[in-house]
Amino acid sequence: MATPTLIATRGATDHQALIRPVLEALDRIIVGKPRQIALSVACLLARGHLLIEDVPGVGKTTLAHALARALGLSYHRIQFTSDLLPADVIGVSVFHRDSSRFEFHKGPVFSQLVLADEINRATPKAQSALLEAMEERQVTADGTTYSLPAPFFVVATRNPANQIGTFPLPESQLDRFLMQIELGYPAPSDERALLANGERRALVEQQHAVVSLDALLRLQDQVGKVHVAEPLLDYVQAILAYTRESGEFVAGLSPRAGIGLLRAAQAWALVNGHGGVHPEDIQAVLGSIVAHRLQLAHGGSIERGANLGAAILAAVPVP
Amino acid sequence: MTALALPRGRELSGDAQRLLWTSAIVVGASLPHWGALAGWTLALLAGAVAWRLAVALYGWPMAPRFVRLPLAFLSFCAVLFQYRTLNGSEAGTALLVVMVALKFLESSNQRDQLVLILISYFMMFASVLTERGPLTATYLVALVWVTTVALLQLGRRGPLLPVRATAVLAARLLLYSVPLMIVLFVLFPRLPGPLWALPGSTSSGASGLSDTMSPGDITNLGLSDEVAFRAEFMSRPPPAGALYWRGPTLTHFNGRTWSMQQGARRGERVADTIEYRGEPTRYRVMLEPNGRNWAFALDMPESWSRDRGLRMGSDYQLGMFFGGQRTRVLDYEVTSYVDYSAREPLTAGEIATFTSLPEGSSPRARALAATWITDGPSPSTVIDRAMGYLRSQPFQYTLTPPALGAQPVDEFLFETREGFCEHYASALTVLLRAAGLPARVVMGYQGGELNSIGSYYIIRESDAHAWTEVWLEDQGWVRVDGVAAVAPERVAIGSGRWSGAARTAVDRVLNLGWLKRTALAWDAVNTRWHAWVVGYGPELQRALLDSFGVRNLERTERWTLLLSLAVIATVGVLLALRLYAAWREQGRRPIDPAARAFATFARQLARLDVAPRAPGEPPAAYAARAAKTLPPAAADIGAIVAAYLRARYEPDPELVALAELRQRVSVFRPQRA
Repeated sequence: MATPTLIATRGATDHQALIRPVLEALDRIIVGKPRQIALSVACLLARGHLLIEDVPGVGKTTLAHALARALGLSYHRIQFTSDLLPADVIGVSVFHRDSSRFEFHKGPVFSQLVLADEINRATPKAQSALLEAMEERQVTADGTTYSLPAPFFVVATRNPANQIGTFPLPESQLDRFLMQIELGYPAPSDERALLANGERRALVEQQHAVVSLDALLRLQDQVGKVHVAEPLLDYVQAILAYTRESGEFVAGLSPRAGIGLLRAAQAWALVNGHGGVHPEDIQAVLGSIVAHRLQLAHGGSIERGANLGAAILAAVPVP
Repeated sequence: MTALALPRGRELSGDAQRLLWTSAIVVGASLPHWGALAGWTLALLAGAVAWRLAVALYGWPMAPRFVRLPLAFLSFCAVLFQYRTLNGSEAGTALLVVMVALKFLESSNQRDQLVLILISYFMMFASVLTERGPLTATYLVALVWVTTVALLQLGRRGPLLPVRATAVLAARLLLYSVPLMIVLFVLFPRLPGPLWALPGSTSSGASGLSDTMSPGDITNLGLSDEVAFRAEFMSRPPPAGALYWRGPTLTHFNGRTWSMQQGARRGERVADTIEYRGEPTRYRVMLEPNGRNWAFALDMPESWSRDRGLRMGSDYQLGMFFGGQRTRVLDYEVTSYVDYSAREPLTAGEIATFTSLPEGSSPRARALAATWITDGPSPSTVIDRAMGYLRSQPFQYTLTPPALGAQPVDEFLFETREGFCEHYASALTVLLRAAGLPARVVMGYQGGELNSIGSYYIIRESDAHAWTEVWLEDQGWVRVDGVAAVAPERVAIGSGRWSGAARTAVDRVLNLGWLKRTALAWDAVNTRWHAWVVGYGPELQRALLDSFGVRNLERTERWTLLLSLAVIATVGVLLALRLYAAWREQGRRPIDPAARAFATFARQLARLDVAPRAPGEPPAAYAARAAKTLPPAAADIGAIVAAYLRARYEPDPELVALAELRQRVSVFRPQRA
């Protein structure tokens, strides 16, 4: 993993200067999770969507909300339940008697940052409504297409426990999330600080935008321009090949996942102020790229519950 | 000046440290000149360096132009005034030092410092013009090494490279040049005589044999241990008793003082009348500067190095008959025959000259000599009688004879009877002249100390000797040594040890034997140095080439040979290094240049027990691990990894990062924690 104290970067780049306040602001709110925060920001910059899998109460919602506040994004939270309808997500056409016309009332998805809480509780129909919007970045209702705002960033959460009465997302749908992260319980000292300072909500409400929308969009454009050296393309390809050929996994990573991995690594390099993608950048994001995409096959040598990303990295040589 | 805005604190910036390097080089390069240079030039240099350092370290103002310009003009005039010329090694060196001082005063950037370093090289070179001993050479080699380190440091910005590693790199660079240096040294066409025949220095305090002799004035002959010359025999050396090194001949006597004959007598034709017999003795003489233009050779020289300007004078002495004093070691080869007849025909006038004695001098000696020739004996009988007289009377050989009065010869012969070689040579010559035989005094050296370490003879001032030469009609000039009659052991083993009984006692008490041995060993080193390095001239070069079967080369052929050998040596060395590197890497060389440099770096770390990189271990993690193992090198390791990441994974169109990586890796020499 990156060792920020040792590696002297060539001074903070302009981009890093834009990103750092965001990370700092989030760090104040979500105590002790700098890595997850950075991954979330990288995911957003890479124009991906984020899946957070964790038990309730570790700050998933807070993270999403704080992200929206710090980045100055419009924010909407959708609680997914089994009776949620697509229209509850997308919006609904209502007949206006005055104008004798149907008028489309935009749903909560028309926000720059949408928190889809407990996405696996909703029916596949409602899920797919959101997932289509995520993929297309537009919504079609009654034959009219409405563009979603930019940036458009979905943070979905799912609860690993209490699987009864849930509708697990199929692999094809999971692939649409660039990353999946876990927040986990805070470290003892962080937890004590959390207890001492009380409610986070007030902090989130006080947080103002530390980066302009314009700058954010520029940063997103910049991600694709981060230099990727030839050997690292080989490295990504070797990782993809390993997931497919090693027999450790039920199914290997898709080409889309490979593109996503590269994108995420570029974003990570940008966040960390690197002049190009380093092997560390790929290694740093790989775990969150594969967490929701790979399943261990029976008879493989990787232990159940092991960190899949670490297992792959140990096996594929860095060029 | 902007580059040198320095803090006053403990931490010196890289530029200030570079300036310190430059000043060290400049002062170091001037060091060999300290003895010869005028004090004010050195003071100027010291002042300039001090001022400039004060600017860098304590924020003094730079010397303004209105100070520098007049200073430059004044010092230039001062050099001209002091030396009356700008030509010659001394004035030139003084000018060089002055210019260095002025340049140092105004040096403000990297380029200035590079110029200073280059002038320093020139100063080092200039010191070879006058000082050529092995010590100076060693010092200069060391200084060139340090200067190369400084050049490496000067060639970059930012913090200095680690000194130790840079020193190793500089040494390696210098070593690469050694084969080329050897080829050039051996094969570069040599000019006869000193290569740098510059007008010499104006002061020379060299001492040597005097050109007059006044026995009786000296009551305590100090035996100087100073070396007169060294002689290395290529053939079997003659016995010590035959080691008469011939010097000037004294013909004119005024009753007290013997002196050389004024005016050349008859040129060189005397050489044709010498008849050589027996085995030739070949040897090489390395003559120390003696402030004279004469040279020494074993009696009787037959042939000698022609390209040294040596000629034989009318009294068989070798000498250089062009003016000026010698200030450097003269190195020449001679073939002598210790068995010879110098059957020079003398004219009546010459016989008169060689038998003349001043009116009224030495009446008792004359009376004695008159008693020997009353029966009309043969000349050899007269000589036997004279030697017999010295042998039969209680003469003593001593270095502390009493002072002699108005008739020194008579007083010595009949009263004091104590003296050293000069007394005997003078008295014997007077006696023989009084007996009507043409005779003269020859000065020179007798014997010499064999340096067993280098197997050559050291002839010191204490080996100085004087003897008599008498002319017999049938045999020519014959050597007659009065001392041999009185103290034969003086001639057999040499004066140094003969008279040195007291000294050996001191040696024994202080146990100075090792000191003597060390001195002899050092003398051997010095002599070899002069014989083979400084004295490597056209003759040695020809001999060396001959021994390799390369003979009679035309000038162009020689240049061709030189150039081709130089090219072969250089290419050969580079090729060998390349092959060695390839052999060491044996196919595990990464193709990417950055990766290759990083592999070199990793090899260095592996030597210090840093476990090699695991396949999936990224460079930064590996570096962090290495830094933990080697905390002192952490900064270097971090810098190398950062450079590697930039060179390998970031856009580096001008290969700046790659260059930095290579440089850092090349000087990376971690030490075990």
